[in-house]
Amino acid sequence: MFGYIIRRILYAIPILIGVNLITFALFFVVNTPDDMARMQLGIKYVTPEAIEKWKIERGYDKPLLFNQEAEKLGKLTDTIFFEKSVSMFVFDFGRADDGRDIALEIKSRMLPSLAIALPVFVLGLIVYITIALLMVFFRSTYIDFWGVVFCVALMSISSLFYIIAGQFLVSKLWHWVPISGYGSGLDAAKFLLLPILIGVIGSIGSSTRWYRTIFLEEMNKEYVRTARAKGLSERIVLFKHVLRNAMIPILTGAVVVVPLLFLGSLLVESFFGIPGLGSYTIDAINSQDFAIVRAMVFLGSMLYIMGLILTDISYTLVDPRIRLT
Amino acid sequence: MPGDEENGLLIDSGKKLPFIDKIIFTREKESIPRWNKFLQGYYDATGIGSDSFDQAVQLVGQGEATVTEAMAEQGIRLETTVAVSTYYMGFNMLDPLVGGSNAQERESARKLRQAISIAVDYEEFISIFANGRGMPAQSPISPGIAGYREGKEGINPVVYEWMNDQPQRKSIQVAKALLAEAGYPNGIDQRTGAPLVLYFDVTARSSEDRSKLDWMRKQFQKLNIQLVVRSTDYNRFQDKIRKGNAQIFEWGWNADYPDAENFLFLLYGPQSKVRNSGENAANYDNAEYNQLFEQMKNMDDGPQRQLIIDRMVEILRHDAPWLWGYHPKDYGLYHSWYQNIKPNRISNNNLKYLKIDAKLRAQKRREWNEPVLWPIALLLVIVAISLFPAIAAFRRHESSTAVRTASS
Repeated sequence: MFGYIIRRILYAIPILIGVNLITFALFFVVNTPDDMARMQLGIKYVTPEAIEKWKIERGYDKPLLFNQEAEKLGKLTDTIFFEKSVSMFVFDFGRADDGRDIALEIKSRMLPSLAIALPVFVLGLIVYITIALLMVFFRSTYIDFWGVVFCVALMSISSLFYIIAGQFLVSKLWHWVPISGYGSGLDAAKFLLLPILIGVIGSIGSSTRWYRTIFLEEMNKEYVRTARAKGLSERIVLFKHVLRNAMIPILTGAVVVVPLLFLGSLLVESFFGIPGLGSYTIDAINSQDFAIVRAMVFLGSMLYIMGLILTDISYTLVDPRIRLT
Repeated sequence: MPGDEENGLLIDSGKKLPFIDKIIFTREKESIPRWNKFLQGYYDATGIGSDSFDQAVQLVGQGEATVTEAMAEQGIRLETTVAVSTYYMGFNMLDPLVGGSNAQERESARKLRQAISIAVDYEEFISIFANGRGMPAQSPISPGIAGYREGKEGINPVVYEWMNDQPQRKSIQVAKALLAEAGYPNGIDQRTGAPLVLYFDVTARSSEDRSKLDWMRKQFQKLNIQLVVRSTDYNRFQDKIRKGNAQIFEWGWNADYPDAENFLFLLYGPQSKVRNSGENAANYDNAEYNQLFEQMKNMDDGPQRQLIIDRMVEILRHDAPWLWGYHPKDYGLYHSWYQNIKPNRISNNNLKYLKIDAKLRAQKRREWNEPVLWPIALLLVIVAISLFPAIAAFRRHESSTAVRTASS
């Protein structure tokens, strides 16, 4: 398994270079270094000299991908792409256009993002799987029927509605928790309750239906019939046998997103004023801060690859027949 | 300043500054939570988004804006001020159609611009898109700036007439006559017989922007002019303006300091965007205006300077390189515990004068945010009621046989 993991990590390097190249190309198709300078320097009184100075100070005065004037290897290395990309592979994300240390920002914003995403993930899994199992348990009854109808209805509602309705009812009308904001330490709990609740409720429809389908598929397999023939109760069949055997598709969907929890949620963080990585990324896109955008895309890609590796490893844990070679 | 004493702004004069120990600025990105938190007392002040305008403001008497009853009950008060800003629609004077390249074309283009100035009804624009928060501009200079003239002598005679003690936009017939004089009778180019098509460069994104653009097309349609909207992102838009590739565009200016010079320089020839990367996005260049600007820019305010400004404004109104657009009005809502406020967009060093009654704020916050607990009880009852049949069904299910016999 160790060899497999090393191999997958090595495969990740060209993928990350490719992702970096695509991000770079997409970003600079829309924004030139001059545009970036103008955005940072403001709209008024921006002279060509000020723009040039800004570019030199931040290393955007070089050619983008190929330096015609440099010699030998310098044609490729003395470029914006090379200089801005290489450092990221040693996790040196550099500074944002406003001068702040990106690594430091990521570090400080990771916790608020995680404080919402992790409880939503764990609670969500428990709630969705439990409801799905109950629906399967009561399959072909009115509980299952109305459960599916309810799920479809929940799926059809925009996540923005859950946020706005949640803030209106829970915070504005009933005053249970603050509408938005963030605090340090335990003080943060009162700000996190509502976004976590909304995060869980917002995905009940789609996730429950997904898990219900997985469980129903398992229910038709022969080992379930054998278990019933042995005289096991339906509860034991479901929670002990079906749940365990349905772990592979569950893990496929769940483990891959675990590393991405660090990146936060754009919408929730924006509406609840959580100073996390989701809002950090969206602000960077709006302010054309390429340094942050590439750092976040790089981090996202890396975490996604890590998630895929973790998924593969988790398969071996739930199914002894699987070997990673 | 006049009115300061009446508004209670001098009560604390002579006292030691500052009045508050700590100021926390919070960036609330979304308008809905920002508005709700203000109503709950967690923010001391707020602007008013168009979504919340009707909830917050009502017009009384002669169109005077005041807070609604619900706001007044909470002790919230409204402060309005005309911003030292202007939103305008500019013509690129380097464009042969709207700017002209020889004397005859320039004269024709001037009449075309004047006709459009009359046709685009900014009173209607302010009413529809700004909830009435603005005043139609008569020149680039905003109210409150030395050099700005009020009343009859302040109106733009190209676009307005003075009737019943107020400016009245000239009829569309006047605009049509000007258009015909420009060589486009009924919006048709009399040289080619083709309909007149103009291009409007914008950075529109939202659905509200689309409504504004539809409205703008209709304004041009009054003169039978086809307006083609060229929407792009802000980077490309700036690029077009820098290179002089735009024909008609929309932009704005917030004054850096309260002086007419800071508005009039936006049309000063040597400030041309295309030629000198300056701030004159219309690339307007008039020798007399330039010379008057140089004479005026370092003068102290006074009758002599006013005369020069009057002449400069007269030249601008005649040449109409911009549709003068409108000056926005800033509306701000403030809680009763927030005192010594004199809103403005230029001076940023007034935090030391602000005063907060922290006791009153804490008391109001408590009063307004008393938790309502009955929904929790209701929720528990609903859960219990819905659990009961589920548990019963579960028990039935667990005790039932796999195959039901005929006798059972």
